[in-house]
Amino acid sequence: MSKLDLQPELWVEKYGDYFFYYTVSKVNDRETAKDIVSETFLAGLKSKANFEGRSSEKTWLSSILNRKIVDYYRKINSNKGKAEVKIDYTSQDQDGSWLEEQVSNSDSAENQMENKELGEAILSCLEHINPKHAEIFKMKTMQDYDNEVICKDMGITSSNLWVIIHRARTALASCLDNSWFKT
Amino acid sequence: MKDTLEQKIPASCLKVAEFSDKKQYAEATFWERLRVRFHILHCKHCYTYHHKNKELTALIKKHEFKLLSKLEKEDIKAKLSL
Repeated sequence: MSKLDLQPELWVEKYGDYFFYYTVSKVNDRETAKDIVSETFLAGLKSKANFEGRSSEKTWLSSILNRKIVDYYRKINSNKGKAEVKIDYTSQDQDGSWLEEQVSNSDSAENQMENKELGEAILSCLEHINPKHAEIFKMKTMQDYDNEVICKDMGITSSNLWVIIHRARTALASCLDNSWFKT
Repeated sequence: MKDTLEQKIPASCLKVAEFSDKKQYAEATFWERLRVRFHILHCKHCYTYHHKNKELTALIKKHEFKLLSKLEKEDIKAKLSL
């Protein structure tokens, strides 16, 4: 992958939900997760020139995201959360292990199939289908939007909606077949 | 490719697939549900599709997806000035 292959204009649509979902599971707070994800994209944009193309765009952004999550825990650990978060650790020198633990699944952001996290696997599979179809599928299946709202927002007819849903479900099932159902 | 494959599938099966999809969202009518039920009795492909479909629904329902809303995505895009 060359530097030219970075597509920041697609980051939010392509990885936004996956990174957000991953971050919420780490920080347990929607607003914080949203901030961390947008900081990640911002940092990615700023350091675009440093992208050497040795890993995929997603892997590169994932490593930035993981650093941002560690930074977040460092910050709260140095403030009021200090007493609570260290409860399982007896000495100061174990700080490192605790931090590692908070991002213990850092590999899953890069290699979601290996850690068998269902939600991540589903969202990751959706990255491989037509972005518009994926968006419509998420609105319908995971966010419970009304058909009317989806059709209006996405500029499609009701019968188109079901064709798209069918294609998305078929593609998702086949992708999960190769990962989740087989395990 | 996908279109070609879909074109090869009998129209009746495509209809049943649509009803099966609607059923996953509890939007299939009584007659549509009945048609799925009868059709899968003699069509192996649709039987497989319907059961995979149900499995997929169960898998998704097991999980509470926390996703960004459209507004939140627009908000992030604005921050990035994209």
